[in-house]
Amino acid sequence: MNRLHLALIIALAVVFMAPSAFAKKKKKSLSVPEFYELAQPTIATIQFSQEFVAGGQVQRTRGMTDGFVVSEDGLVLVSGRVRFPQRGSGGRLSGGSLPDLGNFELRFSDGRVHEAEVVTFDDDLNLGLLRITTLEAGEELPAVSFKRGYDAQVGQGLHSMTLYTQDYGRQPVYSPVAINALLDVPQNVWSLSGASSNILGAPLWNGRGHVVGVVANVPMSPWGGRQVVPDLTGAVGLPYERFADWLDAAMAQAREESAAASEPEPEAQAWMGVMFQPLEKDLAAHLGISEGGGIVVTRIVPGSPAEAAGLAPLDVLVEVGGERIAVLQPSDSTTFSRTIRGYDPGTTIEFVRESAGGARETVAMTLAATPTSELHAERRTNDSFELTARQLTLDTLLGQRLGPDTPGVVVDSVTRAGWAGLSGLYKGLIIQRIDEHDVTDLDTFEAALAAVQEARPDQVLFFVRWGRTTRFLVAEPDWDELSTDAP
Amino acid sequence: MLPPPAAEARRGDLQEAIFAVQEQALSALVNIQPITESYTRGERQKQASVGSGFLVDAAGHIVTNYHVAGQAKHLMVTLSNKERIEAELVGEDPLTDLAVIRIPAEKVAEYGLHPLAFGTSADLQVGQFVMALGSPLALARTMTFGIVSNTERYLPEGMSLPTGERTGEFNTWIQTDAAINPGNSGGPLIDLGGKVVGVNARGAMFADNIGFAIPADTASAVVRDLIDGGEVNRSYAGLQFQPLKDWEGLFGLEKPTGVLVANVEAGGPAAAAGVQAGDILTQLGDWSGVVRFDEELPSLYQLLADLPIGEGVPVKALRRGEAEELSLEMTTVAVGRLSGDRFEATAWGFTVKGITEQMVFEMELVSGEGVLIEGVRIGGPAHAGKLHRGLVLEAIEGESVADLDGFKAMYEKHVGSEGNILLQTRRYETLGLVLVKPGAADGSIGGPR
Repeated sequence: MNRLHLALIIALAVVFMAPSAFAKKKKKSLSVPEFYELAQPTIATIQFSQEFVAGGQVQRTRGMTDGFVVSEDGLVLVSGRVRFPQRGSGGRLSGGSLPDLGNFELRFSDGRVHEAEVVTFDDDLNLGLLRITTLEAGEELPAVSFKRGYDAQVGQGLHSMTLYTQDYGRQPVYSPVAINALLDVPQNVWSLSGASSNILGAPLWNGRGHVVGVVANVPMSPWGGRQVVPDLTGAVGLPYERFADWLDAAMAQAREESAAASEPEPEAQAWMGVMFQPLEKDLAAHLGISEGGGIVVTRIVPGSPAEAAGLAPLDVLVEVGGERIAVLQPSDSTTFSRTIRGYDPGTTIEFVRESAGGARETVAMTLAATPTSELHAERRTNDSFELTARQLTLDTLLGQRLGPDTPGVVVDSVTRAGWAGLSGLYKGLIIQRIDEHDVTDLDTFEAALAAVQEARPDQVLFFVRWGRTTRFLVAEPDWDELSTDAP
Repeated sequence: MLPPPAAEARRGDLQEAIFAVQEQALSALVNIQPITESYTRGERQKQASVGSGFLVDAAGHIVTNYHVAGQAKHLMVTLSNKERIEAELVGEDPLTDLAVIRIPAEKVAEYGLHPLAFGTSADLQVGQFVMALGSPLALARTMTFGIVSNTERYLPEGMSLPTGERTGEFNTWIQTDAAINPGNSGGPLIDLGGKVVGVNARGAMFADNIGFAIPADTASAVVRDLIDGGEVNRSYAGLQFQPLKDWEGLFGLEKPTGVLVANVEAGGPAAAAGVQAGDILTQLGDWSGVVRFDEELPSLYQLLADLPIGEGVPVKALRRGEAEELSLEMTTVAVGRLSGDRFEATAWGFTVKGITEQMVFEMELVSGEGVLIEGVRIGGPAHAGKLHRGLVLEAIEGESVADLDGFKAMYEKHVGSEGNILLQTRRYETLGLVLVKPGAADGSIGGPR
């Protein structure tokens, strides 16, 4: 049966290779060569590394996956093979697991190479969004277009494409794929024939060149691929409908972060020091709190104005400055954040806290200035060690669950084959000592490297930290080769 | 040309030796068919697999890998005489990836099965002939032959089991080119004398004949503990080491000595004793020596784990050239399973697992209270409410969830109600509220169909 479908696809492909004049008139379906031209610049193979602590040691492994460009400003969807060894704990990794991965390198079939970083990842969909960080100003990338509302039918043909590995020159591989079953279990996915595990994560295009789904990893199926999917390849297609909302939100988040990063550090914005979730309508009703929106405080930053004001996690705030906090869904959250940032630090504002049953009380809070974030942290580069460090900011400390008095600087970037990189230093590690010099901030970091460059020892000792784990790394610089300019 | 007679004779000896091993060892070989359960996608899924094991005594104890039998809900074994019989779990030790299961002693006698004995792995030499027995790709009673390729392989990137537990901390591995494939796990690696020198545990993927076995010296001690008490007790110091390599000058040493302290866990016994990262430990109880290479670490960790609990262990340290004398009082740490028992809350579309002491330690959980969300069914009532794997479920409808039994009781209490259910979750210091909407049937989100 699957063979029959494949035969049908091939037959259709032949039909589609009719003269282009015909295609122009009809403008309905792309020929395979037309599709090939359209699709191949949008797909990339992605190499990445992941670091983790096992047996008390920081380990690194490398992995590879496929991805495709979903917007001209360089956002890339990844799926399929970005799986995580269930190392140490399911919990430490889940949810925000992708940020543990790093050094994403995208390679396109035409030789373009870009670097990327993680925007967000959804464990349950097994999809992640990356942002390319190496685009020139104004540079745009060919991107796929998505289409909602695809009317999937058994027997329908879809196009798919991935790249061969480096050994085969990263040639684009075209795969005709057919839907051979519409599955209700697992909920609303397509069983595919013609899709092997080699094209996990690849986009699925309809005949008009719109992406209508992705080839999903087999674990999408709660029963294991082979039991539900008659095709022995076990591949299933995840319809775009299933992840469209997530993708929209992820892309909005990416653009907001990019905008924030490109803005100069804003002058003294106000800060209250909470994390929160929206007070969605159903949640408000369930909690017995008045309708109209609000925020549920989920975390209080130690030492913050919110802590001083006596707020606690799970408090519900419904008004600020006499106005309703109209946060009803995740996308409303930025409005509230902007409102708070818009105050002058030092201003005392009043919130209304509402508890179950509608009891209200006023909470006064004197806002502080927003602490510097990783995005706006000061950075200093040492060219000899090909190492850039940034100041240790509150968000890094919270992320690594470290106390506010933790000394050090954070590795912001390091050339892998530079002397510091070869020692095993990588992005995100906190440097706390270089040789016998304690590193507490960027000034002591620079002074330590200057002293080292003056002394020119054969070996340079770095004492580094990641969360609760510490380790020693040793660089062995070739001083004759290094520039000895002061950093 | 005919081979020289001496070589011919030697070849004959080898063949005879292999036949002798085969006669002796195949009798003890066991094919294990565990039924395990997976809860990772928000539903309980049963999985059948195949592994190997070998009989070690007349009481019916069978040695295998933890990753074969450790998390099994049901164990069937096929003996060398092709009889199938049910087995029970005696004990497990993820840190060495070993488990012991048992069949009735009378069956051992009835079928005339011959247990295998552990030899020693300390004397193994690279190039020594060995045979691997097991059920590669479920092909029962398979024997493969090769040599020891390396006696002290250190596998830094293979420190976690598929089930998430750390492993291999206390041993280097025997590398062999005797073919080891999936299904060989738990089977014996045997020398020409018919003694078990290792327990086959893993192979390198996409490689030819690169297999690894747990050395007999590690395995036999663990197996003894498991048979005697069902578990392995180890003492805990809260210390991680690094080999000194050629860094002695960086630590003020004239020549390589001792072992470098890389990390001291806050609140642990070593921290309490005053040990600091960067110290060079030159004496640890009866141990003194030098650790310069990664391969030397596992035996030191084993020594640390064997130190007496609750007594002051003398420690000598060099700190920036100055000698320090410290006393280290070891404690126990919960080892064993990383995962507690699991449960599927079918109507709510997610699975949970109980929180063990080991999970609190490894995952840096705030406490042992609550249950951990193991998986969320895509499109299920909790997925719509944005519940995620990895969150700790702390309370349901404002009532605290103490543990897995508490969760089950509360699930039973609420499962019939048609209204939404409020869950309170935690991820480290961040709390959250999630509404589960049991009325929302699967399939209500997404999809043009």
